[in-house]
Amino acid sequence: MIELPFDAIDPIVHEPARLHILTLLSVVESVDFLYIMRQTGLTKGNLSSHLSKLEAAGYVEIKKEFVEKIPHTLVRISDEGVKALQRYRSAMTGLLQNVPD
Amino acid sequence: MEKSLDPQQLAREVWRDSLQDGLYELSIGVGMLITALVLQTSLASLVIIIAIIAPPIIKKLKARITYPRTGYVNLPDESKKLGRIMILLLGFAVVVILVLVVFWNKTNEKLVIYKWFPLLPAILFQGGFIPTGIKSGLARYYVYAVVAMVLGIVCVIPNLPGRFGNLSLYLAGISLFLLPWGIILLLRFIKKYTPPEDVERQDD
Repeated sequence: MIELPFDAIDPIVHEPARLHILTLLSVVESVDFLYIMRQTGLTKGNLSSHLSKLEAAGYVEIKKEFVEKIPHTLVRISDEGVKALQRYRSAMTGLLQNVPD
Repeated sequence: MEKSLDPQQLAREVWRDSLQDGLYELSIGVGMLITALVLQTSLASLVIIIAIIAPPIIKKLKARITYPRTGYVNLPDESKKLGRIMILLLGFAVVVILVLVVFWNKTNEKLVIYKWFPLLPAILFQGGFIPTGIKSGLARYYVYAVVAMVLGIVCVIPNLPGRFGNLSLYLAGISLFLLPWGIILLLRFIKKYTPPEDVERQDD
């Protein structure tokens, strides 16, 4: 039996919506709640839930800031989040390489 | 719409998204038009003030028009990279102008350096439009680059009075090209996106 490295797959990152959020955050400096909602197509409740999980894992940083005097909830990927995304990519690559034809 | 998870594709989409409000075209168009008008007065040094006050005005417009509709995005800071490109292009433009002036001076009696000035912004615009086209994947920025260059060449032909006659003609020309684009893009953006009523409550 071929052993597949499922343990290496981070379940926090593996969830499609969170993977989408993290990938989006990896190509920008920071974004607000509305922007992520629009880009991912997630509902307000869903997005809040996923962001809470990502924040609890230390993968994103969330803080309230004023942009031109308008309050925004800004979200940015943390260093740990970048590393988690890189680990996930390596793990998935490794996993798929081991999948037999 | 199916979204890509390819980071490069996603980055292009983010750039494309940030350019759909037309403020890029409008800010360059308005800025160049004002510069063209100022250069025709005795207050040419006011151009520096325009360069200083333009970025905060654009930020305010984004905050009022764009962010309430599509959300706030802070793109990676590439000002250092852009600065290096602009310095290289500026050096290149100066060399091109000097070579042309020397060549022109050999074949003509008069040394008319000022008439070659349109080539300066024409070359500098390449450093703005082409990277924007590459980053966003939008073909219109390549069209802008071609128009900016062709217009620069065309604007050195007439012998206009004053030091900045040809340069003002160029800046007014590029402005009149970009402003309608900007207005169309902005109107389309406003029509396409209506600001949600509870923008501030969305993130609670």
